[in-house]
Amino acid sequence: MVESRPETERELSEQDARWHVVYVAVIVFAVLVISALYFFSRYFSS
Amino acid sequence: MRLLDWAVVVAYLAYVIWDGVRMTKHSGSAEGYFLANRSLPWWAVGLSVMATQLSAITLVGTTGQGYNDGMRFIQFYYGLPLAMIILCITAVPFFYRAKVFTAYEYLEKRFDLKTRTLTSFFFLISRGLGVGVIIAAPSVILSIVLGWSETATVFAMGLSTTIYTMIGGVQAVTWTDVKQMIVIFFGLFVCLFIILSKFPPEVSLGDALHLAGATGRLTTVDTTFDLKQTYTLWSGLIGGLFLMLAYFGCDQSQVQRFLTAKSVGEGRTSLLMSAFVKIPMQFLILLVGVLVFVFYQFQTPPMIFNRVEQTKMEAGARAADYGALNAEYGKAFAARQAAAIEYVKNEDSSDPAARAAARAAYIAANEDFNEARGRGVALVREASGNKTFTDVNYVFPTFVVQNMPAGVIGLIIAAIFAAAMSSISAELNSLATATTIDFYRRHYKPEADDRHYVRVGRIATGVWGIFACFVALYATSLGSLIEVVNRFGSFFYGSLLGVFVLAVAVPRARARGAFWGLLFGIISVWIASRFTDIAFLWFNVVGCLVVIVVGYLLSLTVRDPQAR
Repeated sequence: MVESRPETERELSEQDARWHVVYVAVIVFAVLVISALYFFSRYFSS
Repeated sequence: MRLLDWAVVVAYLAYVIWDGVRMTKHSGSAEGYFLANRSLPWWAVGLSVMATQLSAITLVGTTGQGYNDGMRFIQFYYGLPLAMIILCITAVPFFYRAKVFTAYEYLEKRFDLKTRTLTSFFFLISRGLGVGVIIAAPSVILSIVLGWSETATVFAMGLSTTIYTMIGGVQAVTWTDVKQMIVIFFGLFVCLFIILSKFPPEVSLGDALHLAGATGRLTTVDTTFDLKQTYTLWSGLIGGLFLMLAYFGCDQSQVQRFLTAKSVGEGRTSLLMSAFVKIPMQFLILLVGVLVFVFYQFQTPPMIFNRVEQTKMEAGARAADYGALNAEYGKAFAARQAAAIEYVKNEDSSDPAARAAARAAYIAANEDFNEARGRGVALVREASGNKTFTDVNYVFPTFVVQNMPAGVIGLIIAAIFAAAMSSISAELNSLATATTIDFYRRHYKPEADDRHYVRVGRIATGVWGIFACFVALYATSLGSLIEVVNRFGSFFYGSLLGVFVLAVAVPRARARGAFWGLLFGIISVWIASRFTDIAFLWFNVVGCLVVIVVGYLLSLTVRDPQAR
């Protein structure tokens, strides 16, 4: 995701909102990956 | 190594050096040499961020850990995604808009000159030692593959990288990092497929993972809350978070990466690449180590992976003892191999009791085997007088040289070399930047022209390169190299992070508090490491919290309203 140069305050807050969506996506992805690793470990260690 | 392997290694090294040197034309000014004129795209910066962290040490040390200890080490990275988000919100826009060359420049504006100088000094110490360890890793490989002494290989690798870094500047560092990442991924996948192809026909990937899992090598989440255990979910999430915040947010070698980006947005995106890719990538590297472990269930591994020590033992005063232990080791291997085959056969059995019995027999045989190997390592420690001797770092290179086909050995060695060289160059470049900007320009010659600072930067790169070579000579005897790097870092990183937290998040913080808080933080980490058994990842938490608390309390004693 690459932001363009903001012109107004509205554009700035829209840009911040876009970044917040990206941050949430990163956290969700990380939780999914760690969960997948946990179940992978459990499956093959039993 | 055969001729084809040499050709691959030489061709790759020649290309990397040529690629770095041709960037000289972009490094005429200080901003060009140290920050690439802030012109690089996010994907190049992102790959460079990952490549700087992922050096040859990652391949050698992490695969060795995968073989010896399994996947526990992956928990070290669990705090990274959150750390990247925090840095995207705070550090990236902050440093980028401040138009600084180094992270420590800001501390002078916020506190005072001595706080800036002290933090930069601690960075130089920790990174100077760290880059020495990074040089040591590929030198270990060279000493095995070519039979050179480690001293010769350390200087051959360190000095050639130093020369290339002096000429190319940060542009060269970044663009070689990009190519390095491609080669590393390619090398890893080729390695993975060849290991799988070398398993006995009756052993599938699933069987291999069950074998590894039975010995506890697939543990990726350990919820035990034990401060003495190095890799647990909590040490990774909390200690790892602090370490990653400090490493990516306060360490010049990483801050300099995103300072070269075209804009704040591109800098953020470059860091978020790591948040997405780092954990899966570490999984892949550890998986290679784990599969090497499984491969050696069916092929006899050397009792001691360090060929030099092995030869010494076979010809030394304890040769008879060593021979006897080696015979025991051979028997233990044969028993484990038979148990492993039995376990694989029973894996699909409909009789749960037979399956459980085969599994228990395999686990017991593996423990016997580990004990036999442990006795061999103990004998080497006793005979050599080196109480910390370990051959973890020799596992992967030995496996590659003994088992990979011609051409592939060259490819993997080339990948490891290229990874090392561009990582070392990134570190040297950041050391030179801090030395030139925070010390030379600030304390000695503030009014010189740009070309003068570029010249000083090149000299500083050379001096740091030689210093790192001497550290590397010591580091080769320090155990698991990847852990050594992180231990070095953990001594300083938490405290450096504490100073930046004081600067950014505590308006009442003053220079006196930051300066003495930093010193107290470092001392407290030293005390924690000397007098407690807590794992090194927790040092980051200890250092950071002590700096914040002491720094804040001391700031309250300052009455004059100092400007932020």
